[in-house]
Amino acid sequence: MHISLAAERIFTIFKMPITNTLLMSWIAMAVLILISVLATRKLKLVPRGIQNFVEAIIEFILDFINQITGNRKEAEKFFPLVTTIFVFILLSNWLGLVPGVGTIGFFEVAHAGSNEQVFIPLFRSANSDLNMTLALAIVSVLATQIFGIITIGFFKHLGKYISFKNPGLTFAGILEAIAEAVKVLSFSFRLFGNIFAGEVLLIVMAVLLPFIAPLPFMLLELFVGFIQALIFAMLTLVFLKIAVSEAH
Amino acid sequence: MNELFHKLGVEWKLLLAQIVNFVILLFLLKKFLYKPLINLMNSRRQKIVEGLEKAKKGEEEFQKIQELREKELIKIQKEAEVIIAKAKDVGDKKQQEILKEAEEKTKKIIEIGKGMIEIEKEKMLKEVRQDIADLVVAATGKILEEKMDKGREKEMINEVIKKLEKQRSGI
Repeated sequence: MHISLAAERIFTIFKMPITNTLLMSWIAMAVLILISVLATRKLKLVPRGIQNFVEAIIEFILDFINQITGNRKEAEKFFPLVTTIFVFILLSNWLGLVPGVGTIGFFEVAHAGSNEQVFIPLFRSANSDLNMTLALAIVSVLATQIFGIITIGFFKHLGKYISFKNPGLTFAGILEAIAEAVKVLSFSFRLFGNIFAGEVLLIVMAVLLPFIAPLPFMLLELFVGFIQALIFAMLTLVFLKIAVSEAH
Repeated sequence: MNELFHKLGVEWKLLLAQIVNFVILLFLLKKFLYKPLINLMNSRRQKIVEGLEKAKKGEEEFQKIQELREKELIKIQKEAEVIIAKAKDVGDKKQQEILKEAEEKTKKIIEIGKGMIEIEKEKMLKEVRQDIADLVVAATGKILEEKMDKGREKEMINEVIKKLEKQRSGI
C-alpha cells in the first residue's frame, strides 16, 4: 500500500508535468462543457429535456444566491463564479468515487536504481491534490478582491486594508489583510484535507475488507463531496457579498 | 516554506495550469451556459409578467366598458322616462284644451240655436199678426161688400173673433 500526498506524475509534455489529478480535472471540465453544449444546443422559450433540467438547477441556485445577496442583480453577477466552483468541485469529488479511479494504473520504479515497484493510479480525485484546491482558493479570493474593486472603487476597497484614520483602523486593516491570506490557506486545506482523507479512508477500507465494508464509506464520501463543494461555494459567495459592501 | 510546499506536492506549473483550467471553464460555462440560459429565463419571466399584465389590463378595460354601458343604459332609461312624462303632460293638456273647446263650441251652438228659435218665433208671431190683420181687413171688406143683414153681421163678427181666439191659443 502506497499513499502519496502529492499527485503522481503520469507523463510530461514540453516540461509540463501531467499528473493524474490534472487528468481528472480535465475530465470534469469536459463533462461540464458537454452538458452545457447539450443543454443549450437548441434553446427554446418553452424548455424541454436537458434544457429544462439544467434550467431548473440554475433557477434553484440563483434563488439560493438571491436569498444571501438580497437582490437579483447582484445574484446574477455572482452566479457564474459561485456556480462554477460548486459544480466543478462537486463533479470532481463524485468522479473520484467512480469505480476505476485510483485502481486503474501501472507500476513504476520508485527511485532510479532501486527495484522497488510503486503503483501509479492513472486517475485520482482532483481535489486530493493541493495544487487544485489552492488554485480554486486563489481564484476565489482574487475574485472577491476584483469584485470589491469594481463595485466600490479601487481606493475605497484598498481602504479596507490600509487606513491611517486612527490606530485602531490601521490595526484592523492589517488584520483584514492577514485574513485574506489565511482565507486562501483555509479554503485550500479544508477541501484538500477532506477529500484526501476520504481517498485514504477508502483505500484503507478496500485493502482491509474489499467487499461490502467500503460501501457505507462510499456513501459518506458522496455526502462529504457534496458538503465540501457547498461550503466552498457558500464561503466564496459570502466573501463576495462582504467585498462589495461598503466598509463601515 | 518551499520544502513544505514541495512535500505537499505543490508545484507552481501545476498550480498555474489548474488556475488557467478553472478560469477557462468559468468563462466557457458563463458564455455558453449561464448567460444564454439566464437571458432566456429572464426574457421568459418578462413575457409571463407582460402576459399577466395584459390580461389584467384587458379585464379592467372590460369592467370599465361594462360599467360605462350600465351607466349609459341607466341614463337612457331616465331620459326615456322624462320624455314619456313630458309627452303625457302635453297630451293631458291637449286633451283638456280640446274638451274645453268642444264644450265652448257646444255652448255657442246651443246659444245660436236658441237665438234662431227666438228669431223664428218672433218672425212667426209677426207673420201671424200680419195674417190676422189681413184677415180682419178681408173680413171687414167682405162684411162691407156683402152688407148682410144685421143678424148675419153679428154672427160673422163672432165667428171671426172665435177664429182669432182659436189661432191665438193655437200658437
